[in-house]
Amino acid sequence: MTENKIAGWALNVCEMEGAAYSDVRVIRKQREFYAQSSGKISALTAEETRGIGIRVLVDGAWGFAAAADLSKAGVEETARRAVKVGKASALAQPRKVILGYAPVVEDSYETPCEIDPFEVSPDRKVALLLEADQAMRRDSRVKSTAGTMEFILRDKFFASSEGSRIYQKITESGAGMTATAVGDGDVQQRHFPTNLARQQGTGGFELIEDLDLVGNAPRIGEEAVRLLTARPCPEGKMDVIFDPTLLAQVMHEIAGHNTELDRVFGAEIAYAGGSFATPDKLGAFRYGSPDVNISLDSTFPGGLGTFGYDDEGVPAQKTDLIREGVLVGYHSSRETAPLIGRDSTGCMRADGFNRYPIIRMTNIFLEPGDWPKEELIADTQNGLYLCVNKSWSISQMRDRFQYSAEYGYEIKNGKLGPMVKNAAFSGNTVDFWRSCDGVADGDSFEVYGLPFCGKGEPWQGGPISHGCSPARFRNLKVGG
Amino acid sequence: MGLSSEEIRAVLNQVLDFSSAEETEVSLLVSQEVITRYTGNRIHQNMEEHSQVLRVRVLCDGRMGSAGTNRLDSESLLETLEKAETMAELAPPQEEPIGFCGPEELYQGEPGDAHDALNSYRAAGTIREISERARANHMQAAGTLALSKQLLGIGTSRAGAAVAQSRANKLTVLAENPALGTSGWASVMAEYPERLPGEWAAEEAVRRASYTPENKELAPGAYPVILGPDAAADILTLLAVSCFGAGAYHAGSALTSGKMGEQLFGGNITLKDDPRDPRGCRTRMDYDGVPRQRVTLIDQGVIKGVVYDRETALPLGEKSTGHAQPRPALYLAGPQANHLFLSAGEYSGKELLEKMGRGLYITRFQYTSLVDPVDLTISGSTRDGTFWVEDGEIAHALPDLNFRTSLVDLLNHVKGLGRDPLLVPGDLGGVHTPELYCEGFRIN
Repeated sequence: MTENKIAGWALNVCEMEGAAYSDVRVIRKQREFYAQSSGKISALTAEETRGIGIRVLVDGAWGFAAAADLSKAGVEETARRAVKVGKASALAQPRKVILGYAPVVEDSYETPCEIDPFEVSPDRKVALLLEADQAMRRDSRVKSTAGTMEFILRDKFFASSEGSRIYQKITESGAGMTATAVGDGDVQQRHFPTNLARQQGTGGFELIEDLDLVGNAPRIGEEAVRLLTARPCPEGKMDVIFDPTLLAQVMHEIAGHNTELDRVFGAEIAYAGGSFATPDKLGAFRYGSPDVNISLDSTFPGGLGTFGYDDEGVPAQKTDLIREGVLVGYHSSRETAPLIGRDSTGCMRADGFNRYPIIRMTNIFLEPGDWPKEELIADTQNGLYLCVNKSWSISQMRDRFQYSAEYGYEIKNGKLGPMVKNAAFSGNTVDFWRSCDGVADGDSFEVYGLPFCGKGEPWQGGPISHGCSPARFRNLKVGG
Repeated sequence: MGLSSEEIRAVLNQVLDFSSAEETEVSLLVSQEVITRYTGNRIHQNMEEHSQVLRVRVLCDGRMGSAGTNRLDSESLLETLEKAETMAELAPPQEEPIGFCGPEELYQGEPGDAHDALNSYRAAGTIREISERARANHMQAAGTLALSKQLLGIGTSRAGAAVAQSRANKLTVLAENPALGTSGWASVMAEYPERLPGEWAAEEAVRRASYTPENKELAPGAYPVILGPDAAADILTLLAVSCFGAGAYHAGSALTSGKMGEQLFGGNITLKDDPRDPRGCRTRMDYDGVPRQRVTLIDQGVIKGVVYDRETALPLGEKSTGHAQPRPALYLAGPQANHLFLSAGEYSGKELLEKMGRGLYITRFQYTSLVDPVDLTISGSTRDGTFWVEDGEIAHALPDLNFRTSLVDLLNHVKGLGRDPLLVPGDLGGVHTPELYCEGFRIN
């Protein structure tokens, strides 16, 4: 295989230049992206990139270099630069990096894909976006719309100086749309299905067909208009049931990011902040109520964070993060896991050949409870049912949060009431999860994929899925 | 740097020669970056990247298609061009296609001065000095040193090719003081790496982390506040993104929509976008190939302008101001103001504290988010240096605060501006801003 040969050139140079460990990723990325803005096609593009990323451990310090040049001379030059950067890092490296265990693997992996999205004609994709635009704009108060569709194929080859050789082929498909209504001195938006840019997963064009953009578009336009005259959300402390379209984002920010072990050890402290979920709490700290069971699972079929092996060659796996409310695990890597006496949970990913792998969420799940959704609502006397994340602000250590929801409904005497807008809520992370007293069952379990969770410098977009059923939280502070 | 400006021109001309489309535009961005991240007084990530991204857009019978690659051999260029043409054939026709940059619009200047090589050893040396400064004060330093330089080439079949260089260098320093449980912050940006004041940033972060904390809760409500340059830059960026792009302005969804010439903010607020000001990190040409222009966004509180690219300007009979973003955009599509300059005031930092007397000093925000586009209500929290000011002096550090406040309200109650603005890291050219003393900052 050509990639194996290319990787071999790099690994040889790294070893000769003094690297104790090196790994190489040779990646070809194919991408199609379509976007419409108020009925005009604003993007219709096909891209392909190829390149090599080389990571080395030299004198106990990391170095990394990347380039598009895959000629022998180019690869060897990039390898020499990676070692040089590692030697520079050693100037400010009082503690040497120690790598934890990873199996030596020769394997290949491919995500299932029923309908190859790159074989579907672009005009069909454009037609779907434009039909959805028309259907959203039936009311003249919908002043603007947007829609996007994205297809990515990643051919990834990983090789390490330890002997692993892994080929992976990962296909992603996704789409989403937004209606913006203006009137009565107000501006309101509805996103479909969530505001996470698009609904994306690993798989083919079948994911786009399942979304039924055109069928849902009239409702999205109508709801944006209804929000203009919807009543403001009541304020005060109340019980709130979160729809999965909102809870997915809440889980992401105040359970997912908190349990990234590089963040816990300060790797992101100067940028997006740290985490209060430190290892001294592992196995003992009550993060949430006994109803709260959160896990990561990079083997989940169709998830956007699904793969065979991470970018350190560690196999995909399912791991508990919070079990019956207690903090029990982390997203980790070969460098961070040994610091808590464990093996990597296989979460190192980079968003391209030219990016340094960092710990990313994969697919995270709030596991279903045993409440039928209707019974959970019927059991709530007065409160709110809130849907779709609108804005979010998380404190530096992720111990406090402020969110707002795109829309919601009042709950009166166990029944959904009128639509409400501008619902803001805030609280303390631990109090929030501890107040969870009901998670709906698997019948209302939904999975949403976020194509680019931002983390790291340089900024990297990580593909992640989140799955949950509606869940109820008691006595939450709602309003400004 | 992988390619010289002449080599970039040659690639652009090769693509234009290959193309049989009615109109063709080709962009080539060649960049080199050294990014060194550190935490706990040690480097934990260090990388050097040489990259190149070529994008082609073609227009055939009013239909537009685009394609991209990072491979520049003739075969790849031809393949990319063919992909763009295929996409265009399948696109719906545009009613009135504006085409690509014409000769009268294209940037005509020189590419800019030659680049020095970026040096990962020098970067690591800077981090070692910062870490030693922190260690000497029994603190832990964290942050990022990012050095980058770029050459952007744009060629169109109507106008030929142009190349322009830019560079941006950023340093952030977070000092954590375990003894007090406090942290301090400083960030700087400069066009040339040797102008990054690393020593000053380290000293400033350590100084801010040295104030004794008091863990008393502040009651929710409105407070007088001085926003340090980083906090001010954060809200100015949000303001620019939500209010001063021609896309949102003409769609009617921006606060400023239909309010050109109206006084929306206090008379002491003058905000410009100036990609040419040498106090910032200059960029000469946008992604349409148009020279970047200075635009006054707010003049003494009055809305004066928004930024355009060709796509938003030409259908309205306006001229592009040279603010086109790369296409396709990952997010934030449309023209953006990203070389912001807020006019300075008359007060030193000490005088601003004395003028406020009693209130908050906020160094930096975390996760600011737009809650309501109608009155620009934002939410977020403070971090790395939130202080209580008493009798015109910083009295003690405070725990981080949550806030939910209206930017319109805040920028109508600016009581004083600092006279010593700083260039702090921002999207492209950074944000050049003084400290801001405002009333009515609402914490919750």
